[in-house]
Amino acid sequence: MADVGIGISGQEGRQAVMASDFAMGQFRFLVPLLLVHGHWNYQRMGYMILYNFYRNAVFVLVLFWYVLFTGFTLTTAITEWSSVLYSVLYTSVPTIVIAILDKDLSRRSLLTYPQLYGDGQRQESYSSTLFWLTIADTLWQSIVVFYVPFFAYWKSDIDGSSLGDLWTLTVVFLVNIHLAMDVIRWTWISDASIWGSIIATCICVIIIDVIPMLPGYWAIFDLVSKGSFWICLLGIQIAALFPRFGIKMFIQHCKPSDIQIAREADKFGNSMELTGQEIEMNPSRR
Amino acid sequence: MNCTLKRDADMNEVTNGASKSKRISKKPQYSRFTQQELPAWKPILTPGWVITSFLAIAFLFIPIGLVSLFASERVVEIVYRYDQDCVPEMYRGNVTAYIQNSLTNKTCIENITVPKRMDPPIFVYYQLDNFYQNHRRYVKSRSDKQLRSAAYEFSTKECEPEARLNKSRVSVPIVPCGLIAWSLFNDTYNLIMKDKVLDINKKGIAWKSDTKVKFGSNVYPKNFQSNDLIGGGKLNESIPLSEQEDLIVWMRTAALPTFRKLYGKINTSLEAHDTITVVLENNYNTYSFGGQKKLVLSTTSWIGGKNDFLGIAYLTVGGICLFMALNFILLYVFKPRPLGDPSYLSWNRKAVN
Repeated sequence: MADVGIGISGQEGRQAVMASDFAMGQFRFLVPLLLVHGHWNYQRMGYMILYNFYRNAVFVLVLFWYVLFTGFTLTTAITEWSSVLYSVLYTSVPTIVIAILDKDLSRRSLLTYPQLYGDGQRQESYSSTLFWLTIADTLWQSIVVFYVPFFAYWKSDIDGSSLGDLWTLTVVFLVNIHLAMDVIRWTWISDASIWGSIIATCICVIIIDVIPMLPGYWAIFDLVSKGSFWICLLGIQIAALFPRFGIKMFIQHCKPSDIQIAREADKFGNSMELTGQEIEMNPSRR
Repeated sequence: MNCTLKRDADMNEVTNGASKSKRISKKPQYSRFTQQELPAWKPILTPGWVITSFLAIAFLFIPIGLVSLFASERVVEIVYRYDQDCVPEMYRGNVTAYIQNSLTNKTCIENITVPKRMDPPIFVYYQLDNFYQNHRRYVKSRSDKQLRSAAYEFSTKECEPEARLNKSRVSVPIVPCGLIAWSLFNDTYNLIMKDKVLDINKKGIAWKSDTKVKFGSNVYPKNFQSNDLIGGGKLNESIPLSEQEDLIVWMRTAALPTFRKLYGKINTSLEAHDTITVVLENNYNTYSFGGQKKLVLSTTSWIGGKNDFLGIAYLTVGGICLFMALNFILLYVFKPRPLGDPSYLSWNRKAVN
C-alpha cells in the first residue's frame, strides 16, 4: 500500500504541486488517477517485482547448482559473456515492455466498478505468501533447468562450453516463456520483445561461439547436431512450467479473483450487474 | 492555470469572430500507444483450453519418451574398469609409487566379452571418474593464442605454473602451455579379437573446427613435459598441434566430473559373445586422488550413448500431464463455474451471504 501526495494546481497557486508526488489540473481527475492508473500501477509493480526476483534467481541458482559439481571452485556454468548479456540483452527488454504496457482490465470496467480497486487494498498482487510461492517455483525451475542436462550428459563426452550453451539457451527460453504465460494483453510490442529477445539470444550465443580466441569455439554448432539437445530443450520448458500452469489454472477455477471474473465478463460479454446499478462518479468517455 | 488559459482562448474566440483561432490546450497529442489502446489479443484460458493443453503435452511427450527410451536401449555398451585390476599384486600396497615409477611394467592384459552384436562404427572411449576437469584454475590454465599460431609462442601468462622452462638459465616457453595440456591422458589400448588386431582408427576423433582453426598447423610442441613433475603423456615434437588429435580431444575440458573422451573408432562389427583381449598400458596416475579409469566400447544412436534418463523423464512428465488433464476434467464436471458469472465477485458474494 502506498501513500502518495496529490496536488491540484489551480487558482490558489502551485504550492501544493511543488510538495506533491502527482499533480493534476482538476479535482475530477482524481477518480481515473486512483481507480485506473492506480490500479494498473499496483498490478504492474507487484508482478514486475515478483518476476524480477524469479528471473535473476533462476539464473543464479543454475550457476549455484553447477558449483556443487566443480569441486566448489566456482567455475561458471555459463560463459562470462553470456552471463553479462543475460541481464542486459537476453531478458531485460521483455521485462520492461510488459511492466509498462500490460493492462489487466480496461479503463471502462475499472471506472464503472470502483469495487475492483479493492484488489490492491487486499494485497492480491504482491504479498509475503506470493513472494515465497514465487521463490519455491524458482527453486523448482532451477532444479529442472540444471539437473535434466546434468543427468542426460552425466557419463558422456560433452565439454564445458557446450553444456554451458545448453544451460544459457534453456534459461533464457524458460524465463521468456514464463513471462509469456503471464502476459494478459498481447500487443505487437509484447510479441516483438519476447520473441525478439529469444532470437537475439540465439544470435548472441552463436556469435560468442564463433570467436576463435575463446575456449568455447564452435561449441554451439556441435551441440545442435546432437538429438539430445533438442529433446532437453523442449522437455525442460514443459517440465519446469507445468506445475505453475496447473496451480494457476486450479486457483483460477476454484478461487477466482475479482479481476479474473471481470476479465471473463469483459471477454464473454456478460453483465457484471447482480444487484442494482452503481452510480458512476465520472462518466466514461466511451 | 488551466482555467485562466481557457478564458483567454474563449475571449479570443469572442473578439476575433471572423477567424477561428486555435484552441490552446495542454492535452498531449493522442496516439494509441501513449493512451495504451494498442490493438491487443486478450487470451483467457477457458477449461477447454486447459484440458487441451495438458492432453497435447501428454500426447507429445509419451511417444517421444518411448522413442528415446527405445533408442537408448538399442545402444550396446561395454564398460570395463581396469585401474584396480591392472596393478600387479606386489604393488597394491603402494600404488602411487608404482604408477609414478617409470621403470615398472605398466602393460596389462585383460579379456572382455561382447554382450550383444555391435554394429560399426563402434566408439572406443576412456572414462574417468572423480576427475574434475571443470576445476576453475584448471579450466583457465591454457593459452588459446599460443595454440593457434606460432607467432604467439610467448603468450603464456594464463598458463602458470606450466608456462616457462628454465633451460640453461634461459626462460623458454612451453608449447602447449598450461595444466590442461600438462595432464594429458596417456593410457593406450590395443584390442585383439580371434588373434587378429582390431584396427582402432585414431583419425577424425577431434572436432573438425578444432583441427582446422583452433590448433595451428604451424605450431609444434616444444619443451613439453620437461619439468620435474610429470603430469601425463609426452608429445611427438615433429607433428604439428593440428594433427595431435589426442591432445585436442583432451583439451576440450569436460563439463562434469565423470566423463568420457573419444579414443578411437572401430569399423568392423562385433558379434555377441565374442571375447576381446585388451592389451593396455596403465600409465596415467588417477590413484593419488581416488579417481577411476574405465575402458568403454559403445555404439551410438541419435540420442547419443546409453542413457535412459531422457526417455524416463519424458514418460514421467507425459504421465503426470495426462493425470492432471483427467483431474481437470473431473474438476470442471463436478465443480463448474460459469465464466464471468458476477455472483463470484467478492462484493456480490458478501451481499448474497
